[in-house]
Amino acid sequence: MSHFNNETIKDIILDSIADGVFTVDEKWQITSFNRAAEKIIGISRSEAIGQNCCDVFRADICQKACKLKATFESGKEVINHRVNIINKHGETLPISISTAVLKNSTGEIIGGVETFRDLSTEEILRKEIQDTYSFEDIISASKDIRKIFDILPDIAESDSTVLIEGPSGTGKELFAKAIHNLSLRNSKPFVAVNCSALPETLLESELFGYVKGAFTDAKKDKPGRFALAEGGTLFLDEIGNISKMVQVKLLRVLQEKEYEPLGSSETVKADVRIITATNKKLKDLVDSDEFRQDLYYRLNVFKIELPPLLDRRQDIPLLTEHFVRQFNAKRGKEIQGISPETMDVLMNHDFPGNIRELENIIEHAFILCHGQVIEIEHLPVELRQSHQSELLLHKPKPVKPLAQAETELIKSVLTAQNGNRIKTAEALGMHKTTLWRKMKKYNLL
Amino acid sequence: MKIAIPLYNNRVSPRFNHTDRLLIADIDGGEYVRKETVFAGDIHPLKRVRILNDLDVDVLICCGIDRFTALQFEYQGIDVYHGVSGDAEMLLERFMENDLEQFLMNSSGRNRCRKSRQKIRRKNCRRK
Repeated sequence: MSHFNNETIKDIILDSIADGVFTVDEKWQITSFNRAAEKIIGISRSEAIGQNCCDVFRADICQKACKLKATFESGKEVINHRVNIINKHGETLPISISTAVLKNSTGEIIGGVETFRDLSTEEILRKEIQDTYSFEDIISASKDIRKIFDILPDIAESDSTVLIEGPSGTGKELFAKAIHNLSLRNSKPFVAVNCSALPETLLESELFGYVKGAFTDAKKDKPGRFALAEGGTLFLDEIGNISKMVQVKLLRVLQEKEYEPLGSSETVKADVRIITATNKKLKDLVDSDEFRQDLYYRLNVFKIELPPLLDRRQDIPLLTEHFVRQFNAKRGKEIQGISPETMDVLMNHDFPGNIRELENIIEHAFILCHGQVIEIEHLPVELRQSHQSELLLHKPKPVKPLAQAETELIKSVLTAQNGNRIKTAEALGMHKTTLWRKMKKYNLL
Repeated sequence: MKIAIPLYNNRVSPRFNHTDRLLIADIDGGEYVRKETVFAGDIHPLKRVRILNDLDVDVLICCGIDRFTALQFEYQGIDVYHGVSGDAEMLLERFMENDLEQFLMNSSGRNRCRKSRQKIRRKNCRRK
């Protein structure tokens, strides 16, 4: 050990720690930065050292609630405080931080140390379990989607009803949540109801609630979703599937801002913003008399149309990367990504099931892939078959040598013309002398 | 050309979406035409994008910015230099001297994009 100086030993020790660690001096400049910190933040040690810690760490608390600063001031350690940082790639990472002060031999504070642990895996699982995705989780570089984001603040602030149309699996609920989060109602509840999941009578009681004795099993009052969403937003998914009776009741709430729970004679005021979604064209349902026109106009104050994945192919690599990360967390695997050939198959697929279909494909591949890269053989068989058919369709047919093809053609026409060389030459569009020369060349005389 | 820098005291804010103030500098031919500080407050990222777009900003110089917000700027046709740290005024000078690259951490912080048609159209509308 004699040939190692203290700095080298300190670096070796820091690099052996699985958690990210950096130290700062009293001017908040980074004095050491271990290997795990490089990996989590994505910034190299040589770049980080000498920089202000907030410029490298980029945590949400850096400006207003720095925990290291609090530790400096109080002398008290902070343990496992959850924050989020932005890494070099612009990804927001949840991490857990702990802080402590560094003192010299006389007890004087000479700096601080912060250790941190990446919680991305736990966060992915938490979101999955609690279904707490926000619209920042919508991954898209598509102009169509970005155009919607552009107008979203205006829609959100308007407090009008919004109709979201789009095929299944395009993220309609995420957009509804986005509107709620951007609106002045964001401190109040966001309540979602899938209208097609409930039969007509249940849907009515679910939406408007009931009072004790309203029906046989109504042992006590139960507030409906309108009551639960009071002051906030009620999201009605699959609105095209509601019955005419519920349509009438819904129309009344929209017009009068009031309703009566089942079995009650008392009118309840409703201060709820309604956002609806459907995978059908609601106007078509109006035209076919399945949906009330007056309700349609009430719901369709503002319409957002979400494009199918087919129309935003540029998002397929981004979404694939996202799902790989997600399934790595869920399945405890370390798959790095997918091969260029596999990506080619995905890019050429039409995705009738949209983003949900892509997610299922990646989930399928995760079951079969035991290496680090997803290959074509890990894809569902239907996708591989359609890819192979596609290849066959575009594959050039085997080319016969010109001489062989010409011989076969002359032979067949000669047979068809009963050996008549003049007629054969005419049929082949060549002079009889040319035909004779070719027959001689191919030993057909 | 208008340049925006999120502020933390006199430096570039470590997080674009967590800053209260934005320095907006209007420059023309390497000279300042106007400089002002705009209050941003605790508002949603999409509203921040909207503010800069409404102010007709062409370039954003910042440190940490999430991918979601950066993509929205890209859609608006606003160039984003991210991963930039240091004194805001000094960085403005460097930008005008076309010498900002050395302040980009890991040299990866640039989302260059051509002005989108929408941006150009908006600008034209304002001029009218």
